Amino acid sequence: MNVLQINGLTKSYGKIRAVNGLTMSLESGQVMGLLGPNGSGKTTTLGIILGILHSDSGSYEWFGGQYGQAEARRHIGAILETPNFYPYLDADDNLDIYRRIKELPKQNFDQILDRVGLLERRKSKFHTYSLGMKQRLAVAATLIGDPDVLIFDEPTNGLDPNGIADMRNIIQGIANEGKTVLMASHILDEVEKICSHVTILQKGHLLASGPVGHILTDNRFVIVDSEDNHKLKRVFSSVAGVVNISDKDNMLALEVEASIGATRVNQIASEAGIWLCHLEERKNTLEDEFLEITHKHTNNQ
Amino acid sequence: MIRLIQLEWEKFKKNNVFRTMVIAYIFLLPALIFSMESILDFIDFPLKSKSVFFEFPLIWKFMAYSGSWQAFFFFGFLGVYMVTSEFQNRTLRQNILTGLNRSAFFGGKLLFATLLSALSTLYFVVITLVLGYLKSKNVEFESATQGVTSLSFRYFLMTFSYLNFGMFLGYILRKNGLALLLYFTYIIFLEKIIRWWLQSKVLGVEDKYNLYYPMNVINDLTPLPLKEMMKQVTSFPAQYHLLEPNLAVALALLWNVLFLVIAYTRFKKMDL
Repeated sequence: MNVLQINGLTKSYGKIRAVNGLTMSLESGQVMGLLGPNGSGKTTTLGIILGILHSDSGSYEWFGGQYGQAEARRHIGAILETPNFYPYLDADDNLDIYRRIKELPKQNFDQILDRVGLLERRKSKFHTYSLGMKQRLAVAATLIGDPDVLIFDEPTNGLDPNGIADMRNIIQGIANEGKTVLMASHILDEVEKICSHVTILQKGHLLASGPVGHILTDNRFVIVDSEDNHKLKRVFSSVAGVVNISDKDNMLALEVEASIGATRVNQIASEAGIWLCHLEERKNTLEDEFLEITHKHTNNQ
Repeated sequence: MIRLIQLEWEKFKKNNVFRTMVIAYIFLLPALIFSMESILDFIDFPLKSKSVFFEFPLIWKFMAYSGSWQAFFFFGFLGVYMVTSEFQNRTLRQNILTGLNRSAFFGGKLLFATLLSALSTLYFVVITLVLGYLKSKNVEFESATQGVTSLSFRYFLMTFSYLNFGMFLGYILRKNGLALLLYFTYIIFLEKIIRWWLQSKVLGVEDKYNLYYPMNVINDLTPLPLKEMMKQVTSFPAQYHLLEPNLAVALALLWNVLFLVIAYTRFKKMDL
């Protein structure tokens, strides 16, 4: 089922085009990472589909248009940028305000607060919380009414290592329940670990979108080093199955097809009379892919 | 409707600014009258009677005038705060993305302001009745409450107007400090400068039009009962510039509608 459909969304701030003709969709059950560097238009996109910002053109539709816009948002749990609560109220009172907005019957929040580890501090005022606790309360607020769709915007921003690990575990747990999740992040590792799908944005443009496995190609990298890398480069540039050769930290990164492994690379080098002092095989990470995609895009412009 | 009022109540019932403003109003409305009584004793003004201000029927107008100062201060402050705090804590954003639409947010504040004005008016009526009975001798209920309905309505409108003007500046400026500064500066200085200097001296517009400015109109809903006071003064000529009560009501309604329309239109269009 189509949960969210975005068509040609555009939004400018003065001369800067934050979102540029963005078209994408979110299907039920997907855990979608919205990936891009700072300023790529992730938060602006989320702001528009959550009713906070007005787009210049384009449209979006939640749940196939079966609800009004505000009503649709009541079926979603969302955090945008910072955790926003009434500083003079405690966790229970704050959650109760958002429960009222969602027009849900009175309930106790034991389970939700337990899940994010705030049960003991539920009666403390929000302004006394650490950033990690504030962020966890924000996640708790998204869980009110057990919505099927959740939106997180840079959920680990500003947290310490423990906080980051806690937050990832919580979101991972939510994703594992089969909920539909849209998570904006500039941290590749986070998206790679949590998401099933990824949409890559840069300067408001969509660069790539699809399952994480598809965005990650089957090609691998073999990193090599020798005393004569010029010669090494010449040798490998004529080998079939070597897709690309690039410099990496004074070494060479050979992008190779699945048919070529480290053993074959070593063999080719020794046959050419070059002795390798470094040989490392690794899978293409999302980070490599991301840089490659953004690099290609910049070159095409 | 009740749902939206309840939501506002839940937001502010434990808020210290809200509590302080409401308690200050509850306490100061009766207390100020007593202090005025002491001041009149102290300054030895040439009055035929001092007690007349604190007896029916004059006490109604006197209390209403005293109340207008407090509404200007406490409810105007509250009006600004109720809106700007939601911008500054970014709870407005969270309200909207949780599923409240903008009209409901705006409407909730408006309903809450209306309820606050109604309750403050009710308190004004009760406390004035109590004080009036304590100070007056042998008064029938009918003569004690003559003209109170229309005065109460004007009092309600006056309170609502200060709240509404505060909220209007809150929506336009978003920042608490800035909106409060403009609220007090406009009412205390700016409007008077525009009325008395810019309009008549610079633009050369006739003085009779300078009564129609918003804060002057609100002020004239519950003015100091000068006419009645002059009767008590031995040697002062009776000169005053006040709007007729019904005209003041009509103009105040007009200004309020204008503030609401501008604030709502801007709020609907703004990025949060």
